[in-house]
Formats: sequence, structure tokens, C-alpha cells
Amino acid sequence: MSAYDTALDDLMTKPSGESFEVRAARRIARWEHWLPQLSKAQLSLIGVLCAIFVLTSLFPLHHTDLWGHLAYGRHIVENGTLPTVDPLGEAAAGETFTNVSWLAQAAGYQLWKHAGPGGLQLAHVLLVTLAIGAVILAIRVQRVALGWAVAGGAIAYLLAMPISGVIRPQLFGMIGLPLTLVALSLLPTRRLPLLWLPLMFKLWCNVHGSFVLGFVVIGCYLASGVLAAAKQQGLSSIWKEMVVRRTALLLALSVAATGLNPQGFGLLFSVLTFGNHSNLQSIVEWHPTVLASLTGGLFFGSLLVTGILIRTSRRRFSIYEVLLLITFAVATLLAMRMLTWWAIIWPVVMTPHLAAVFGGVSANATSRLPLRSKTEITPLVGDRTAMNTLIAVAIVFVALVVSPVGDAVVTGQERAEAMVVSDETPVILADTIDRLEITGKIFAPMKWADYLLWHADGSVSPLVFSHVHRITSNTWQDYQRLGQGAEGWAAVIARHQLTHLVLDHEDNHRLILRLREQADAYRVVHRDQRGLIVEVLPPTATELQPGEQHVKKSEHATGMASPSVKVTKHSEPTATLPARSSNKS
Amino acid sequence: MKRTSQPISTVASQLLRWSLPVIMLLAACGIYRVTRVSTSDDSLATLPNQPNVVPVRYDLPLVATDQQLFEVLNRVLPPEGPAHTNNYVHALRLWGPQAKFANPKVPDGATMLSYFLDDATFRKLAGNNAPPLFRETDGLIDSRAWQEADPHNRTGAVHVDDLLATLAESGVPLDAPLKMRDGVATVGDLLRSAMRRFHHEQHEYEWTAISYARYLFPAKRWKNQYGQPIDLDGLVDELLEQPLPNGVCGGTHRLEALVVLARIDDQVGALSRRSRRKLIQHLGGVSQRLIAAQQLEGYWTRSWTTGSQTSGEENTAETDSSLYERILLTGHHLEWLALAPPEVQPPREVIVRAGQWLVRALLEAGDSELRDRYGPCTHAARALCLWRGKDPYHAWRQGQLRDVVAQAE
Repeated sequence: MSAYDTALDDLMTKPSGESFEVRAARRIARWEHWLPQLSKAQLSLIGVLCAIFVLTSLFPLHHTDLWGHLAYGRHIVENGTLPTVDPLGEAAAGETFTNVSWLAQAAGYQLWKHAGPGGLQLAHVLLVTLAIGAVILAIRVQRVALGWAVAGGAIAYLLAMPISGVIRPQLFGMIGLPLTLVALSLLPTRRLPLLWLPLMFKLWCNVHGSFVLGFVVIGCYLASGVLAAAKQQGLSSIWKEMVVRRTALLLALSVAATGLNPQGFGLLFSVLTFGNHSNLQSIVEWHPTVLASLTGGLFFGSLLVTGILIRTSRRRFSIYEVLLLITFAVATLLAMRMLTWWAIIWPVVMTPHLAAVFGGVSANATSRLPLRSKTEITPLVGDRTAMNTLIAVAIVFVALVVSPVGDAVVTGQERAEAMVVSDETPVILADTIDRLEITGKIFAPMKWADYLLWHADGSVSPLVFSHVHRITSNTWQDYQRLGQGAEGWAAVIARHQLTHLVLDHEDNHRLILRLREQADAYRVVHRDQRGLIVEVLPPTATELQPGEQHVKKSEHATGMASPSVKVTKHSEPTATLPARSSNKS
Repeated sequence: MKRTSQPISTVASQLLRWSLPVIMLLAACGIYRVTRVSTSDDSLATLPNQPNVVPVRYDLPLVATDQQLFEVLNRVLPPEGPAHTNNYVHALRLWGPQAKFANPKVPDGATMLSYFLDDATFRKLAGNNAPPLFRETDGLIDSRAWQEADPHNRTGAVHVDDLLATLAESGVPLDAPLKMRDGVATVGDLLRSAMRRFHHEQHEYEWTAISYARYLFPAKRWKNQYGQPIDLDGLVDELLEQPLPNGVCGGTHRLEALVVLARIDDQVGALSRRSRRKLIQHLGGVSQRLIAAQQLEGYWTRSWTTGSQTSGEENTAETDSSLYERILLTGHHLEWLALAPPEVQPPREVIVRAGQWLVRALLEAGDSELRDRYGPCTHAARALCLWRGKDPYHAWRQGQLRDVVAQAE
């Protein structure tokens, strides 16, 4: 027995008649051994992850591409196969249909089917929390103190906030990328990454196209190893360097693993050429990063900190770190959406330097994760205490009941879809489309089209939805022309044989005015404060049948001015109502 | 003798140590789940049977004399001829279910009420080919909407929930049967359907608000069919947010909905202080605009929302509004003012001038114009009756009796 055990034994067997403090200390000592002891840094890890869980759960399900992905997922699951022709979009002649995110889409649909929209929200929260957890791990394996690694994770979350609030297949990439960094950190001393990382790539390439960024990271690591070896031993001795050989092997295995998908290596080509699609030039997130935006503010702010740390860090910047920073900084400058990846790379690279400036690199750390010996007796004094564990339990409990998602899980009360989705989601309009049994091809603003497509389950087909790379550039231009009521808008309706137009009062205001000028050809079938649903009348339907008498709607019912757009169900034909106020939740 | 203790080093003890926090967390969650009060936001489950009533407050003979009232009411009897749902809505609202008329061509109150509550009566008056007025779809009862191209549009409902509001104003209890073509329900089912369908993006909600105030008060919240919680304060905010001229009849029905909410709140106290204050302030502001915008003769035009006598356009007030528009606006404004709380009332002189103008306009208007604009004219007649504190049918009956006595003499 150790001296510690003897002291404990003495405490527990002391006869009564002692002071309260002594008795209390003995009781505390007794129960504390029943609980694990956490350090303050571990407690902070739990606290930060719980805070991320709560904050992310406040984001509703976004109204855009989530629903398009679910629609694809539904098609895949219900048909049991991957389509070779785009079932929802519009392909150019001869174009093959490559659906990178098929696995994420199918999984998302299954989750919705069995757990409803609340299940999707839970998945979103868990994916983001796991992603930040992976970032923390990627920092930790660089021998950085846990407290600093946790801080790095928090920084990653803040940087990724403009993007991580939306559930998308790329969240899987936000887990894959830091795990790639972990693998590379462990590679010099372990061979296990050679096994699990290619397996991870195999999964990753079937959920999101960001897997190529994993190749970029491995490539940067390989390049740094080659340069380092060349500098130390000359070009002829590069392959003698173990790290270079292992990294090259890792890259080869990872690339090979991505060939194991339903689309084969053609997938890689599709992903690499994805960003060149002309339609994407109109999408804001593909535009260069500008300072006057939240994304720009975060990005340029981080660049400023980088500059300061380059000057002040006591830790040398490795070639690998420099290559990572330059590559991803340039990518983010070129396209705002790349902030997602910068938000991972930057904290992983910079946190060790931050720690070096302020102290915090573990002096005794090795390249292994700090595992405690099984025979180690946890001291009751010092940083690790059972009280920290109790606090951690309390934090987790509070996080669960405070977050809407956690509360739903704990209480088992399912929340209605309208309460889980964002305010912009056209729930009422979609329900109206169902109720009025509208079918065929329709126009709808892109921000609504995915949800309408999903909700209608195939009965309506929006002209354009968020997967703009799935449509021809002519159709994309037609969509913009029609949505703005620009010249030639009527021809667009005829050309695409649209049956209905779903219009936003604000975004499609000019088109609404144009429609009112041609009242005989269009009929408002639904109107609410968000928008209109207008039926495109076939030419013969505008003529009055013999013998029919239409009772003129009393002006008492319609208001002041005479209508210029024919009205049907409960609609105000004259003044366009203003959109809902933005502060309405 | 020292007691030997086993070192805490076995796998089992480690597992136990690590599982304890998990067990504690699960226990806490379990207690939270059990003790969490599942508050049902569904106030639609239990509703009072009788609708709330808004009692009349005033009797100003200067607004209209008894004889003037009688003559005006004589001009707005329920219209003869083919059934017209919108006309029946307004006629029932004015005359009430107890009204009886000697002329067999003029539908009495009971018949008009039965037109709404009993499909057999509806078919008798609208024709067997007329589609049903009410139908149930996906568990919700809805009225058939007016549609311009529909050959049966005269028997459709023009506004969202206007039929329900009319039943409430007519004092129909929630357990009154609603005999539809494909089944029997109750007025309560119709109310629940309306509340389930309601949402904050709704285009028209004035009559839904009136129905809510009369039938649902003091229940403060419910959930619609989309699971969205609807509460009273949100409804009031919705009514207050819209610009003044927006909505049916130049926005006047929204004002009516607000005063009904305020008056019933006087009885049951369901509005929060904040909502009540905002509501009264809003109505007071409208009242001030009406004072400033009233024309010399006493009527209002569409310029009332600007608080001036002209609309600011090139045309003068005299030329930029028709007689019909003046009757519509003046009648509606006088009607909601008759129900409004004292603190938002304009000076009596404003009311009297408006009332007297309405009397002259209604007596001088042509028959065809009255027939074509029956709805607004009933609002005007009702307004005059409210300001005299008289039930329209009784006022008309008293006028008839006076006539008979005068003729006998």
C-alpha cells in the first residue's frame, strides 16, 4: 500500500470525538474516490463544447440548400439507386450527373424520416460540436496545453460562425479536415494514420467535395517534408527520409480510397472543376472576400493577428505551416465560402504560436496523447478534483436543458417543423401549393425553391433552386430575367411552360407590376404578407363562356380602386401589402 | 488494527468511477423530464360556449332622430332576389337572427342564419347546383371563397372568417350545429379550424381577430396547424403594424377588430398592459387624424389616413372620392367609434356631423346604388343605431308602429 492509502485509511478509522472539519474532510475524501477527477483544462474543454452545443442549437434549419439535399436524398432512398440523370435539376445535353454528397443526402433524409426536423437540428449541432472537438484535438497533438487547445477551438468556432450556422454536407468536411491535420501530426511517430485516414477519405468523398482540401493539406505536408529533406540532405536523399515516404504513401492511399465511390475517379474531376461553373459567379459566397462583410472582417482580422504573431512568436514557423497559411489565405481571398476551411487551418496553425507567446506549451508532452498510467493514484490535492467533475456534470445538464435541441431530446417533445425552420422558410406558401394541388414547372425565388421542391415531393419543379450548377446558363439567365421583370420576361414563362409563379412582394416587385399590366393572362390564387402565387392562364381560359355571368365582386369587399389583376381566394387586388417587418420572429 | 482497502485500480472500479457522472447526468435529465410541466398551449380544447358581447354605450339623438333611423333602416332591409352570401352576412349583422319582415320576399333573420348553419336552407336559397358553403378538408372546416371566374361566386365568402365573425356577432353559441353537405359539425369546430389555420403571414385577419375576441377571450394563446404558437400580444401587434390604409375597406375593419378586442378586454382582462397601451394609443392617433381630416359636410374620404382634408394630390377632396366611397368610409369609421373606449373618442360635434351627413346620404342615394353597395350601407345604418344605443330591428319596428299610429290618427 502506498503512503497515500495509509493516510486515507487513518482518516477513515479515526475514532469519533473529532472536530467537524476533520469529520467533513474524511467524508469528502470518501466520496471523492467514487468520482473521476477532472483538471481545470478538461473542465474548460467540456464547458466550451457545451457552449458551442447551445449556441449552435439556436440556429434554425436554414431555408435554402438543406431542402434540396433532402430532396435528392429522398430520391436516392426511395429508388434505392443513384440516379445517372439529374432527377431534380436540368442537365445540359450529354452532361453526366455526378452527385458528390449522395451519402450525406441519403443519411439526412433517413434522419428526417425517423427523427423529423428536430433530428436534423440535433445532427447539425452534433456535427459542429464534433468539428470543433476535432480542431481541439488537432491543436492538442502538437504538444499544446489543453487550455490553449480549447481556446483555439473557440476561435475556430467564432471564425466559422457565418457558415457553420447552416446545416450542409460540408459540415462533414469540417470534421475531416482537422482529422487530416491530426493524422499528419501523428504520422512521424505512428503508422496507424496510414490505415484510418484513407478510410476516412473513403467516407469523406461520398459526403462532400471538400475531401480535395484534405489532399491539399497532405500535399503541403509532403512539400514541406521534401523541402526540408532537400535542404538538409540534398535532392538525391529525399526518399530516404521516413516522413517523406510515409506522407507520399498516405497521399497515394487517400487518393486511391476516394476512387472507391459509385462515381469512381470521375468524382475527383467533377469536384476540381466545380468552381468553374459560370452560374456560380452570381452566387455571393463564391465572390472574393471583401473587408466590408462579416466574413471579410473575420478573415482580415485573423490576418492581422497572423502578422503580429509572425513578429512575436517564440516558436518557429515551419514550412508546412507557412504553406498551409498561404494556400488557404489565397483561397479565402478568392472565394468567401473558403472561410469555412480557413477557420480550421488558422487556429490549428496559430494556436501553438499564441501559446508560445503567452506560455502554455507542455514541457513534458510527447507526440502521444497524454494517457495516464492505470496504476496512477489521482491526488486529491492540485488541479484535478472531483468537484470539477461535478461542475462538468452540471454544465452538461444545463446545456442540455437550455438548448432547444437538447431540451427536445431530454423531454422527448417533438417540435413542429414551422418552429425549427428559419423565418424565411415559405411554410405557408408550400402548404398552399399542396392544398391547391398545384403541379408542373413553377417559378419561385431561389431562396424558397429548395423548400418548395422538397415539400411538394415531386409535384412541382422550380425553374431554379440552390443547386445552380445543375442548370444550364441559359436557364439561369432566364430565371434572373423573369425574377426581375426585365425585358422578355413573358417569353421566359412561355418558353419554360411555367404553370405558376410564386413571388416575393419585395424581391419580385417589378414582375408583380408587370403582371398587373397583363391581368387577363394571370390569376392570383393565393396572397399573403410574404408573397403571391399566380396562375399562368392558358389563352382559352381568359374568354368568358356563353351563358356565364360573373357577379362583380362588390367594391365593398375589394376596397377602393378597381382591380387590375383578377382575384380569387380572399385576396386584396389593389395595393401590394408591405412585407413582414424584419423584427417579427 | 488497520483495515485493508483494495486499491482503486481495477478496471471495474474505473468503469464505475466514470459511469457515475453519466448516471448522475441521466438521473438529472430524468427528473427534469418528469417534473417538466407540459403546458398545453392549446386553449382551443375548452372554450366558453357563448360569445362575448360588446354592449352599446351611447345614445346621441343628435346623430340621428328616431324617424331618421327608421327611414334609413327602411332603405337597408335584407335584399330580395337570389341569395348573395356577402349581402346576407351584412344583413344578418345589422338585423340580427330575431328579425322578421312581413314581406315574404325579404329573408328574415332566422332564415339568413339558417342559410349559414344549414346546408339544406343554403341549397334552397342558392340553388341545388351551388357548391357547399362549408366543407371539411384535412380535418379543418373552411368556407368556399369568392372567386371572380366562378359562376357561383355570389354565394361564396368574400373575406377570411367573415362568416364566423358574423355568427359571433349574432350571438350564435359554439355548440350550435353546423350542418354541412357532407357531415355535421358545430360552430365550435368552425372556430377551431379558423384558429388552426391562422398564421401571422395571413393576408386578411380582421375577422379572425373579431372571432377570436368574441369566442376565445380570455384564452391568451393557441397553436396553429403548423405548430406555431399564436398569442394575443402577437395578434395585436399584427393589427397595429400594418399601415393605416392597408386592408379591407380602407383599413377600417382592422380598427373595428381593435376596438372589439379592447372592449372585450374591459370585461375579461386578457390583454397585457403593453398591448393595451399600444392599442389605445393607436386608436387615439387614428381619432386625431379623423378630427383633422373630416370634411366640412361631415364625411371622410381616403385622405383620412393623412390627417388632412385633402389627399395631397391635384384633385380636391370634393372630386377625388365618390359618394359610395364617402358612405363606406364614414359609415365604417362611425361604427368602430361607437364601440371605442371613451379615451379615444373625438369631440361629439365630429360624430354628430358625420351621423347627419350619413343620414342625408343614405336617404338621398338611389335604390340601385343602395342595392349594389348594400354592405357599406348596412355598416352606415348600424353605426347610426349604435350611436343611438338602439337595436336596429327594434328601432325599425318602433318606427313602423309610429307610422301605423300616425296613419290611424
